[in-house]
Amino acid sequence: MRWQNSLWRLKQTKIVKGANELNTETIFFDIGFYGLLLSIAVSMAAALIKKVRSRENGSSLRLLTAEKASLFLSMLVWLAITIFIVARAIRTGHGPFTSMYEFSVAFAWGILSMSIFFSWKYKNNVINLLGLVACACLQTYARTLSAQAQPLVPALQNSLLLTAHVFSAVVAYGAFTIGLIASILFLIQKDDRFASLPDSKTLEKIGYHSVIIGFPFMTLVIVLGALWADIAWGKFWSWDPKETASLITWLIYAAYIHARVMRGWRGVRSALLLIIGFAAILLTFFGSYFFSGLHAY
Amino acid sequence: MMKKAIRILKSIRLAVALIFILAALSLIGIFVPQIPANYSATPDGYAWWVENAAHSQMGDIVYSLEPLGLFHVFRSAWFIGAASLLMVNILICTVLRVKILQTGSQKTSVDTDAEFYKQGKYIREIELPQSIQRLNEVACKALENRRYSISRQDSPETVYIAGDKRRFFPWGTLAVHASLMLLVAGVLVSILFGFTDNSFMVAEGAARDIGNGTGLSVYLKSFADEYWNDGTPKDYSSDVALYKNGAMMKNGVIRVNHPMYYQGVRIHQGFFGQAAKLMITDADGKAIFQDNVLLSDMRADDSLHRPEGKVKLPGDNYNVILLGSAINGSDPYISKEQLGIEFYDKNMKFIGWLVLEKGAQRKFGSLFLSYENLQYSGFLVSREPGTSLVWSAAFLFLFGIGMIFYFPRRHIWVKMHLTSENSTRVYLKLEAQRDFGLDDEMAKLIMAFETNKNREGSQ
Repeated sequence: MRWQNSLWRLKQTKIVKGANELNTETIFFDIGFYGLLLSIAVSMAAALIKKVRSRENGSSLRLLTAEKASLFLSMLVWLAITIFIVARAIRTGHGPFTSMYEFSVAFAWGILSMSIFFSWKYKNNVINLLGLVACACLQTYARTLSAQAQPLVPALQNSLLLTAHVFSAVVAYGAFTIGLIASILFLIQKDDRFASLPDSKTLEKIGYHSVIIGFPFMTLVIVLGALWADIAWGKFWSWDPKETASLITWLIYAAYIHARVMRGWRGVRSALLLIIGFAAILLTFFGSYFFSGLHAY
Repeated sequence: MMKKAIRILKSIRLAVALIFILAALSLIGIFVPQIPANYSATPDGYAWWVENAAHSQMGDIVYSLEPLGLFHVFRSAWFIGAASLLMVNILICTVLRVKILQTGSQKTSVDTDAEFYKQGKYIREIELPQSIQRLNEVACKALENRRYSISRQDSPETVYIAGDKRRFFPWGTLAVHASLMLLVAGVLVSILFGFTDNSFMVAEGAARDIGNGTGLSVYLKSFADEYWNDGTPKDYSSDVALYKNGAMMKNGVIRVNHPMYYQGVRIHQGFFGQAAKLMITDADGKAIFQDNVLLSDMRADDSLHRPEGKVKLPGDNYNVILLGSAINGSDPYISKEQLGIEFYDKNMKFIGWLVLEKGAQRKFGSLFLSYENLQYSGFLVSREPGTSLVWSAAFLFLFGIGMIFYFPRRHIWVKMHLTSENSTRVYLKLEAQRDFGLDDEMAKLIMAFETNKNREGSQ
């Protein structure tokens, strides 16, 4: 009798979970979230070991293992979030980019992708650690929002452009987040006073590299958005607050590129420009809380 | 004087300053309310909007902001001036850049001295126990495999090799800057030779001329709006027929994301609202008025906002205002199935009013009135001949930026010098516009030499 009760409860749980759309998505969202926390812990351990070892001025097998473990865990988290995104896309029939909840998770995915790429490319754990922290902040924010898939208003019913437009934003924002991290670290590290952090030249280069990756995608965001607006409403540009905010972001990064390449801006000035650029991204991201417009979020 | 002006206009410092000015003005455009086009079209509308809409939002500061043009910042002298100056700057820089690019895209020179291989970030020097001829072959093969275009200068004791990769890709910068000018040209062509009607409204069962020399008219057969279960809009669709000089040219359904195109004219679904088919007859049943009326204006009575339409009856007898049920709350006077009718004389002096029930006839003076509920559909109708230029500009920008950012030009120099009968010293130097990945490139080239050395060693 007891086992029959248990079976009944299990069935009920499944039904309730189905009704609340809590299935593959929820499982992988949670795996991603708790995996992130674990990755942060391992990455912090690696950073601590590095700090101690740098004082002792010696290499360490333990350090190498911890850094590799941190990167490996980050990849597993990336995989979990990717599965979440794909599962949700299959269920809803479009890229999971139609609400603040979905975009926050996608933004976190973008940061994590870039964080893994840059920490692999520059063999640096600190970039990964701070990328993981930024990612965890966004995932935590997503947890405060409704996970319900919203029905699409007519303008959003363009799956291809919706997916391409917002996916480009995810890549661009992810890259610019790494630029922000590199710039903050640069300001802390400008005299190369911390042996456990990457040297200032590398940080400067990472900042520039992030813009080289992010800026074309930011351009693509604006172009695809304009194309979509032209198809949906017959106007490719309406000075909608969110599109204006993305133009401001684009202009700041364009100024950074010109100042750095043509005027030779390096160091504090270019780091500050990247921080201002990221502030413009935050304005775009959270813009829907301040101003209304054509964008759903 | 002219030289000084050109020096200022071509400067990157000016470009960066202008970019920041445009960014700052755009920021103002986000936070300061911008006047909608329908209010800014007339001075009265503009004044009303500033006094009411803007003032209620911002208070007395509007009187300081208004003279600065900050309520239409994107059409202000500040914004247009800064954008125009930036275009001039880009134009001058683009013209000047052509010569620099021509010079820069010449083949990498083989002619180098010993000092050359000691300077630079990516330099390597290795000693290999092989003949110079053999290493020459290895180097050329490795470079060709990595898609370098090479030139050589040989002598029995020394070999110089210079390699180029993506020699013409820096021209992408020209494409990027030219695309911005093409974008502006596209917008100007559309403004000068096209037209846009943001509020082209047609009631169900009615037709309306597009005008602007098109000879086209739109007949709206029906309009439908659908909603999801939670009340979110699902679809707006207008079933229309397009006529030219009385002959039907095209038939179809226009919905958001699915406009209708005909000979350069585009019709997009925009908005919709209430309309009414109003029928007024005299006591003998003779029709005085029978037409579809759009309730496309909005009237605020206390806190209620009602859609409103105006009609002037033939014979200068009455002006009639039709009022729909309030859209922002429960209407105590006009329900969803009713239509309010106000009568005014020719001087707009109020005479009286009544509420019509759907499908029922009511009398006012000697007039008999009835109505049918309809909807109207609002379209954006445009012909923008510059659009293709705008999209070409966007493509050109992306193409150019991809070329310069993701595929930067690379140069390589290899010098091989015979040190003994079977030993050769190899000097390598790499350079690129953007040096991401040069470490890897250097490592792969070194590996090509090392692999060959090991292979020959094992033989």
